[in-house]
Amino acid sequence: MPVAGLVVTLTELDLLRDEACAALASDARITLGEMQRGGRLPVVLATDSVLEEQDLMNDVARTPGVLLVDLAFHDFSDVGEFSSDELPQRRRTRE
Amino acid sequence: MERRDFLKASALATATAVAGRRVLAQVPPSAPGPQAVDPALAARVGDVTWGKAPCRFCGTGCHVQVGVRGGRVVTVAGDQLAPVNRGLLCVKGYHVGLALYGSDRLTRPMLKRNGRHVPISWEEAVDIIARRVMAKPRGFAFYGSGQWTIPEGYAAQKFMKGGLSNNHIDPNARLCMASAVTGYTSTFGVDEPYNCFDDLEHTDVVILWGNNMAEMHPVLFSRLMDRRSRGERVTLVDLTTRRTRTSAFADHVMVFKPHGDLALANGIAHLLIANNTWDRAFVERYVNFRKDSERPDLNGQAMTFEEYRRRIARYTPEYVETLSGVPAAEVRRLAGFFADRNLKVLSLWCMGVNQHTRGTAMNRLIHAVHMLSGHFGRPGDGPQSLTGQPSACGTAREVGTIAHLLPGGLLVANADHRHKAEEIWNLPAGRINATPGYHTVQMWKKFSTAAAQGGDIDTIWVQVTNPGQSLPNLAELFDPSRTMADKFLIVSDVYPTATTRQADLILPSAMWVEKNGMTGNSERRTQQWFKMVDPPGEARADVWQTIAVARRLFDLGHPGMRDKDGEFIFRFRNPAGAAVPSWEYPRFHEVNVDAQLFEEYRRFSRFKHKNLAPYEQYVSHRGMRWPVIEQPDGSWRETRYRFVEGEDPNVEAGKRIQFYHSVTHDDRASLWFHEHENPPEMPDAQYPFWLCTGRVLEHWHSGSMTMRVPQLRRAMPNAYVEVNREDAERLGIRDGDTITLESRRGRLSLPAWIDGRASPPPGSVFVPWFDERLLINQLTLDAHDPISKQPDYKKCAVRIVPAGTRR
Repeated sequence: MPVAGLVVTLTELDLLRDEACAALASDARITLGEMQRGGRLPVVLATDSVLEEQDLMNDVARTPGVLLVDLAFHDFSDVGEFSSDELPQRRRTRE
Repeated sequence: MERRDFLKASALATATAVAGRRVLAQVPPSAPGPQAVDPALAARVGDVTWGKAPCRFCGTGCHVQVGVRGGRVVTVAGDQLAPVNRGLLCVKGYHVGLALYGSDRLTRPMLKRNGRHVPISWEEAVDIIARRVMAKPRGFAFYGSGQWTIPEGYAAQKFMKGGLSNNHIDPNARLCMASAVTGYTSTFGVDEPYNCFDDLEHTDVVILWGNNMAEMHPVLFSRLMDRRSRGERVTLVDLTTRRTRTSAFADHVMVFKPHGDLALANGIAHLLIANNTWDRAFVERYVNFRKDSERPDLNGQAMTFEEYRRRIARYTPEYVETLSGVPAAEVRRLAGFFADRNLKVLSLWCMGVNQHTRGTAMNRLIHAVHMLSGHFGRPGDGPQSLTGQPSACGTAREVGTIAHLLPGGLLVANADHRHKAEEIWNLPAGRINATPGYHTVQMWKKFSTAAAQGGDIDTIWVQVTNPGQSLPNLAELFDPSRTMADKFLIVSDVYPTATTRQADLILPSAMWVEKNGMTGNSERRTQQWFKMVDPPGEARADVWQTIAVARRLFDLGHPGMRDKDGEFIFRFRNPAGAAVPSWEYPRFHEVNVDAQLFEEYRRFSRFKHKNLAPYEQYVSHRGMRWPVIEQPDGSWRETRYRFVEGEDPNVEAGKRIQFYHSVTHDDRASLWFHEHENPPEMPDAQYPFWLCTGRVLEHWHSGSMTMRVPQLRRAMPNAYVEVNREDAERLGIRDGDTITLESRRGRLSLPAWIDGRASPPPGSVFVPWFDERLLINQLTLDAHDPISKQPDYKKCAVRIVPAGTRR
């Protein structure tokens, strides 16, 4: 069950910034930290799998009002070796 | 508190600290930095053992705090004490810990027998290599990369040039930054950037020359964007052949025709001269003008300013528009930045300029417009190339694992340099061969040519790279050897790759923090880390593999493995001074082999003023930028800006700027002129599209590591071809259709992505090369720059064959 610490840069537009914070806060897997100057918001993602984490990170990045997502911390101590079964199929197409 | 809550609190505290630091624009001290572990982090996650390491991937050199529990890497955090990344990581660095744990790590040596790879012992593997080398020492070549750590590259270098008297050693860095080397060397007389990443905080205008920085160097890009978020004005100019993610952040996007960059650079120079906005004082004091000889080489020939003025005169904005496709008004805008000396202008470039049949010329011209305009020498005001591999600078360029170099920038062709190397290595005079070895394209062409037809390379040992995917024109350079019985391919790697599958012998390697290491990033910053976890199975460090083969050759009686006292060329001692046979693997970790190799290597660094500090200094710092000079109080001081008085201790008082390795021996740099020329292959009636290849944010190099990280592979699971929307409509191609690209060298079917992540202009397509199942290098061209020998992966002619099949 990975835990990720992100730094999300939000828009300078107050209304859109508030909406972005509200949207992020509405997801129980997301914990918001204290907004820093320059619209930098510390965010923690706690998910059940690395794949869910990836999806959630993509959702964060796509949230209106989010300009940039940078990464600061990643704990994956519960994650074992990866089985290639769960990954997109590999196929050879070399001609 | 439950462990998960504890981790969440740690993650929040780390992210908050990083966010706060960036807003305040605090730069962590570069020196001194005695603690290897951020104490705040160590205090927060108490059951994890922390260590520092630079990221495994690109040339930025971000530092990572690596958390280990139970013999496994379980946590990574951006290192807040690191000046390069200040706590940030990109999506690849963030997943660097996971890259160790793909389920298909190579764990045993494997020999191909009857078409199948079967496990063998290390003893047998080492013996096989040694006997092949013994049988034909000059037919052996070593192929590495900018992913070699400094000690690994140094051991390979000494083994080949000092031991075997064989200069056929080259890195895949030949394929990504060789043109930057020749550009720097022929301009300043010595390789590597004079400046550093501090420029990002000082510049007013950033010119990106064919560089998709948002995806390729995202942490550096974040540093720029961070300034904007603080309300600072930073103008971003994106010179590009296709719109990328970087373009979305740019103030000015200038899309030029492939190869049109030479014309743009000449257009800037023309306007500086025509408008009398060039910096006469800088030019008269610090510059000589130079042009190509009849046959292009590193030195060229002198030219006068009047001849330069005459030849640059025809590059009017209107003429440049016809050559580059960039409107004349935009050419004027671009030149205007250089004309304004109140601005600080930073040029950045990487593969777009280097992977170019005029790569050396293009590098020289970027330096030229900076010197002509006087935008040189102030923080934030100069030209700087970026690199794509973690130690392209530290190992390939500084250790000199290149066919014509010795460590420290010395040359095999120079008798004095060979003598210096033989002294340090304690070799008999004349041991080092004076003839440069084969460069990458030559080496692989020889390997893929039958012996009877002149193919005099019959064994290649590949470490830390994947030429079966990364070489251009694979059908010519790689595939033929695989059908020749006398050609033997040895590959050391961590995962199965397109190259290991074709190998005769596979050696399983340790990766990143499974071994000690040192690397050098794009700003001359040398970095160090310690082994933190064991490699899986029987995987072993590459440096051990090289030393073990050398020792086996010694035992077999190869004379080159002895120094002039008859001793083995690799000797290690424990703190008590007793010899330790580190080639015996059970005893390999008894001493710090890296430290002892590095201390020998750094003796070379003073010859070209690339002075390195003692190993222990790097243990306690997040890297130091050379030249690193000992101070009267015994401390060691790094150098941010070379050639600049007050910054570089090698510059004499009163000189302000001194190019002390000047090729003309007068402390002046060379300002080159080059004409625009068409590329060797252009679209025509038969092959009407430009093909450009490159990278994507999620995957690094050939994807052999990042494709094992589930998040990254899921985010970008396979290669694709970006097709312009108008072209797609004209050809009846829909998103997801499988289409076939054909060049004069090969063909490949892959899914179409209309406009794609970027947006290729009409008449061009883009394909990323990370996917081992879709080898775009079946189509690319092996034509290369005449001086750097670097191939052009960015442009060749193809045609599209819509297959009409939908994925």
